[in-house]
Amino acid sequence: MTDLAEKTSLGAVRRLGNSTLFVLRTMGDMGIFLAETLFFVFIPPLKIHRLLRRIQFIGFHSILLIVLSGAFTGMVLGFQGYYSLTRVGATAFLGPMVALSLLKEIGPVITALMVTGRAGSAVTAEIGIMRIGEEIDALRLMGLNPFRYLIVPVFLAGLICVPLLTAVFNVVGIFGGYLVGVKLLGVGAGVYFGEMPAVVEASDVLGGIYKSVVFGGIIAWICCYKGYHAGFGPEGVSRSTTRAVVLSSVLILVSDYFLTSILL
Amino acid sequence: MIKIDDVHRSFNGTEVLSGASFEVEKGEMLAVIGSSGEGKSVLLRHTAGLMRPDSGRVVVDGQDLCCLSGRRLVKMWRKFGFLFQSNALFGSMSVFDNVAFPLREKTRLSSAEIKDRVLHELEGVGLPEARNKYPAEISGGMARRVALARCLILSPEIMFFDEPTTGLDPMIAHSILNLIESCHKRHKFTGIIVTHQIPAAFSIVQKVAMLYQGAIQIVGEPKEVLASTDPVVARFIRGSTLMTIYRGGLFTMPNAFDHIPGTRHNRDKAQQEDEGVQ
Repeated sequence: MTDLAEKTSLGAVRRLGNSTLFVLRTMGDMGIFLAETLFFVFIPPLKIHRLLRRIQFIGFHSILLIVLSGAFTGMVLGFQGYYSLTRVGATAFLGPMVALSLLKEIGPVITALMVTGRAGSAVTAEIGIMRIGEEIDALRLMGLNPFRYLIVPVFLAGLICVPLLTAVFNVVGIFGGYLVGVKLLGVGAGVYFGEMPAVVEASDVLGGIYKSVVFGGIIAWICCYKGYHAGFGPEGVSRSTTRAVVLSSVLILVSDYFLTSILL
Repeated sequence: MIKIDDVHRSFNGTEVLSGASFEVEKGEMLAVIGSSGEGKSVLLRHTAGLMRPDSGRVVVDGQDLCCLSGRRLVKMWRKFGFLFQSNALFGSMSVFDNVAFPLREKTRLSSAEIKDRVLHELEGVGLPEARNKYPAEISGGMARRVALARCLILSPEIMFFDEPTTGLDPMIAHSILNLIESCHKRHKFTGIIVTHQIPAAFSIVQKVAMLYQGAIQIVGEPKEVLASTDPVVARFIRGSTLMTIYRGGLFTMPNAFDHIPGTRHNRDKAQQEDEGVQ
């Protein structure tokens, strides 16, 4: 019985040790992956054609999704804000409230989560399929660098597209709030927009842009890493894709907290 | 040209290669045979420098691939062509673009020159009409030919073939082996071919090495390997050739079955000789 207990406790310690080592090794691998990506970002030649294709895929093809989600998020903010501000008699601040919420927090976060779901998952699956289909090995044996061809274009496209999509989300969201607040609930159009310049500062806009740049980097980094290190077979690719979306989403929310603490 | 010296490699505590050694001379073709799961593809990937051994040396052109890093390894890879088991064609590119890809990326040829060379290479593998199709639109045998054309477009000095006939029917498999043989004669590359196609593949190689339990059990000319009295080799060869006969494969390598007692080929031959005597 004692032996069994020892074995059990030893087994638990061993499992804990193995898990810790696995997590540390993975974090190290991810760090090296990011460092290698950054290295090739600054070392020419840059594959412009591939970068433009990635910008088209991550940015342009996401616009409709971003417009829809931005519009409805702004409309919900219009409703919630109006009824909350009515309680304190401050409906005049509906416009600034919607704008600040979107610019500083909701815009960058929801845009990043949407891009993760739509483009990040697709990037992981694509690179993962290339990994299991030996296409990445084929590139290496042709003397071509897979980072330069596959990873760097996605990374740069993430850095460029996510802030631009966030801007689209914010603008559409403010007009969504306008539709509900002004057209539906009767707040004056001049009141909705008039208070905005007085309350919203340049630092609020810049803070949101900084966040979205970081989120774009996180999405590209995690999704490319998970695809590049996809396991065997279709199951390995599907597992990598799920993990990429989950880890990217969690990291976006965690980094949002730290960025907010720094930027405030 | 290529020297594998006492290569060891383990995965998760399981030793897959345990002291594999062989040599391939310039211009020679070597077939690596062995049961499934013996580590033939792993050995081939080590030979191409895609994997690094735990210990041992992989020497190509006098340079140990295990010691090369970065640019020097990439420079070495430019001499290589690798026909992957999965073909590794880029699904988003047409057949033409797949074959043209190495030329566009690694040379400064004009579009017209690239077009000429790609069409010439596609003609060489018998697929000029498939140039506008995508990998998903062509058969497995055609995809293998396209992959071969892409490998050969930069005229590699060393070619690696990872089970080039896997998943193909016997006739297509036979035609792929013939194609490899004709390409070998045309391009004069040094080659290593991992294959289960016994004895058909023996007719296109100068040397055969059998991998067994992580090490090379036998290496020699095809006839020596077929005639080997080593029980492990004889059992494997007999099993493979019997399977070929059973499948109805009509690969008629001269005297391929003469050394294998008990095959239908030998029984028929003995019967014919008996009838002749009578």
